[in-house]
Order: sequence, then C-alpha cells, then structure tokens
Amino acid sequence: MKERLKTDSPPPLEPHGSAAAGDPLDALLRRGLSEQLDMHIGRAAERFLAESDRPALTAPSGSAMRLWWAVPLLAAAAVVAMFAAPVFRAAQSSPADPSIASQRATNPGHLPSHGADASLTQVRYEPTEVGGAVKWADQYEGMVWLDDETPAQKIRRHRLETLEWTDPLDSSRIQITLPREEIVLVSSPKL
Amino acid sequence: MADGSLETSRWVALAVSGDRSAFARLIGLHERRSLATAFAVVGCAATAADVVQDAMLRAWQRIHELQDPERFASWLSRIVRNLAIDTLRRSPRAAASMERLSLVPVHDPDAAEQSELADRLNGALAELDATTRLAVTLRYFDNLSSAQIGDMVGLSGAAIDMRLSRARGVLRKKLSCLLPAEPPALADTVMHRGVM
Repeated sequence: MKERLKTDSPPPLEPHGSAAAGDPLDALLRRGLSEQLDMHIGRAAERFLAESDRPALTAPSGSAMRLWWAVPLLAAAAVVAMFAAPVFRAAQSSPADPSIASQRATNPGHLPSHGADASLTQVRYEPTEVGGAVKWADQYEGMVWLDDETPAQKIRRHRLETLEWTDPLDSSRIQITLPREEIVLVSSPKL
Repeated sequence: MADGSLETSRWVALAVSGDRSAFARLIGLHERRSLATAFAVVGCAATAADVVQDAMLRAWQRIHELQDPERFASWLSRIVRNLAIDTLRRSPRAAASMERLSLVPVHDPDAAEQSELADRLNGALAELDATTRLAVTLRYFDNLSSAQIGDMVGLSGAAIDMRLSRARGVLRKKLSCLLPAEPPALADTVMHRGVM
C-alpha cells in the first residue's frame, strides 16, 4: 500500500483532459475560452476564399519576389539622390553656410591657409567628394486599400541617412546623420 | 520533431501548387491553434481573430517559402505569433478597448454571465507569463498535449506540465469566485486512491 501511495503522484494533464475531466477549473477554462473564440472559427477561411483571388493575394512567384526585393533598393537610391543633390548645390553656392561656418569655427586649426583675410564668412567650402550611406529597417504593417480595387502593402520604414563632404583645401570632413521615418505603399496591379 | 500529420502534408503540397481550396482546408485544420496562439498574445478575442485572418493571407502568399511541409504548423504559428506581437506593439491599448467594445448587452443574463467569465478569465490569464499563457490557451482551447505545446515553444513536455500546474494554481485562486467549491486536498485524494 505504501508503495502505491508513493508512486501515485497527481495525475498529469492529458491532451484531452481525461485525468482532470472532473475538475471544475478545467471546465471553466474550456468554457471561458470557447465562449470568446468559438464564434470566430471559420472566419479566416471565409476571408481567405473571398480575398485570395485578388491579384495582390495570389501566391507570389519567384520573379515577383525578385521585383519585391528591388523596391527598397530603388527607393533608397532615390532618397539618397534626392537628399544629396540640394545639399551639394547649397554647399557649392553658399559660401557663408552657417552650419559649415560653425563647424569650422570649432576647429580653427583646419581653416584654409589661403588668403590672410580669410574670415569665416569668406571661406568657400568646395566639397570634392560627396558620399552617402543609408541604413533602414522595414516594418510590414499589412494590406491597405488605396481605393475599392487597388490593394497595397503598407511598409513603415525607419531610415538613417548619412551624408559626408570633404574639403579639398584642408581635408576637413563634415558628416550629417538624419533619422527619418516614412510610410511606403506598394500598390499591386489591378486585374 | 515533425508536427504535421499526413493530412496536413498532403494539403500543403496541394496549396504550394496554388490550390486555394487545399489551403482553405489547412486553415480549418489549424484555425483553433492559431486563434489560441494569437489570443495568448493580444488578450482579446476579436483582435486575435483579425490577426489570424491576416496571418492566413500572409501564409498563403509565402507558402512557397515553406521548406518542410511537415513543419507547417510550427511555421504558421510563428507567423501568427509575430503578427500578434506586431499588432500589440502598434497599438498596445487596442486590445483592451476592443474587448470592451465587444461586450455583449447586459440585458441578456446569459450573455452578461459570459461577459463576466470572459473578463475574469482574461484578467487571470494576464497574470501569467507569455509562455505559460500560451500553454494554457493551447491546452484548454485546442486540446494540445504537453509534448505538442513544448514542441511549439521550444520546451520539453515535462516543463510544460510544470508551467500548467503552476498556472492552474494561479487561475484557481483568481477564479475561485466562479468555481462551485474548493476541490479536496491533494493528500486526501492520494489517500483515497490508495485505499481503493
């Protein structure tokens, strides 16, 4: 009898609750979950059958996947070009750019040596190199509809842009890093 | 450990080839597990249902990426869980507010009782850690064994049993007002069995 008492440990929970079928807690847990979730059974299949014939929801092929990967790369390239061009122009045409002037003022040893009267306002900053780097992380936020017939994938993109200039006269460098966030909607072709 | 049955593997193979009805069958086979998984994360039935629907559409779009058809259940569960976590991150208060909106009218006594049970149960489940909450919902909504749950969450069946045992203690205390009476003490139960 003692042997049996020792080995007769509390019954483990069985997959179908057979060992604890009489426990009111089990019945309560099953009922509480069923009452909330049972009403949703079948809806996923209904929605899938209703929406899966739309072009945006057909199982993508390999070529489609290749195009998909190209989207963020092209977008990133466009962003770099868009951002770098005006800054580059501004740097060339604005000799008294306050941000550049202040950068130099903090580092007077790197002031250009040409011209004894080279005051800060007269320094002409002529970058010889413009480099840019972009880092981004995409967060997929599901499907949205642009109109009744145009589905689109919604992507939130966190981007970190770094732009750099080098002065040919004193080899000083200026680097700007800008955090940005944007929503990208990638529409799918209509039928 | 492979988690799929032959039936699942067969439907997966058909779905990969573009058979929509086969994928609809897969949804039917795995919807309870998916709902339990999403509910354990978001804590709201309506939000969980939305998450599962979105997850199924996403799974259909990506099913060609599934390497091993026998791992379909695990693969799908990951999609559901990740999507549920994303949903929670985007609007952490959405789940609670949607739950309040979905409350049934108080004029219906049965419905009011259901609502009270749901509120109390969800509050009690919120006291558990995420893995234990998932184990409880999978056990009591999808009837999964400890080994199956363990395979999903990367723990042994024994570890799941321990978590479930502790969870039952917490839930029994939290839901005591809804339980008819205290169960007999463990020692009494063992002695009774011994005498038998």
